[in-house]
Amino acid sequence: MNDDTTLSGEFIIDKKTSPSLKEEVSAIPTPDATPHSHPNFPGINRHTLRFFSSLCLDPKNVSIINQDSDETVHLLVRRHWVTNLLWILSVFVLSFAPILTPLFLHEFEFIKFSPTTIASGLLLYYLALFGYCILKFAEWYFHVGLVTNKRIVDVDLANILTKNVAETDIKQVEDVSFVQKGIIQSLFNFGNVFIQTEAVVANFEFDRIPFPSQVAEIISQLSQHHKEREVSRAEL
Amino acid sequence: MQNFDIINQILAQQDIFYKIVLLIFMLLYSLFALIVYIQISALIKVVNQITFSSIFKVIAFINIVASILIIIYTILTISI
Repeated sequence: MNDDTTLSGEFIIDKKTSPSLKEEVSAIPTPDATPHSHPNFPGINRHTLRFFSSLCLDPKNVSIINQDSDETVHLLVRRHWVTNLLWILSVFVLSFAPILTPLFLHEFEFIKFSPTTIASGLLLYYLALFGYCILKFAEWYFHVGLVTNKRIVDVDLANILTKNVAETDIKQVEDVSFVQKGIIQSLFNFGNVFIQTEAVVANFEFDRIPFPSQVAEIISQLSQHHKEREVSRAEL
Repeated sequence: MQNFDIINQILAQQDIFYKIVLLIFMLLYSLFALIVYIQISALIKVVNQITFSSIFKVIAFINIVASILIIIYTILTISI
């Protein structure tokens, strides 16, 4: 009997002091809430992480480096899709460049290509464009910020050969702020989120991510929640 | 007179010269495609989006295969 009381008592204390963020926000009913959007953050995609997703809350089917068995990814952020427009446009324009080439070649009549050389050149040109697309997509796809129930991971990719992976304990988060600059960032609602940590070494930056204010709030809530949980555990 | 002959010969054989230049670029591109594939494989270990990672790796591999096929095509079409 005594054991049962202790057990239920512990359960109640645990329930009261450490509800998960998901439980906290799910308790608040909102009319526009759907299973694929968060009730408190209706613009943010939840669970369904596609290859072109810039932001996903509680993503399914994602694993990260050195992930513990009890570690779950709460948030995945990438740069806003607008940041890809420039290279997509340049690829689109460049894909029409071979059509214009014969116009310039008329000026140099001594240059004569055989049809097979033209075919090889064209194949190489379009393959290089395809390779450029893969490269730029990879730079966007792997430039990712992740928030788990234990840590924050920031993968920065300056180019395909230069990667920087930094991580910090979520308990070490001191302050989260965001910056939105300029017309385009305000228009498409994206910006930089800065995460200040207790650690001397690094502060984290998720650059040009969508919904920066909401992301900053989510990270703050997760960090706060984790700290409260640590305190309640220590008290117990 | 001899100099003019050499220039004429070079101009007559210019297609081979272009193909050799193209081959050099293709070899460099194949190397680039290989590096991209290796890096993508390494980065997938850092962040693995299970539903798409394997597809992305296959796309990068197709890029290498295509570059090799173009090299073969160019070599086969060289006629001296």
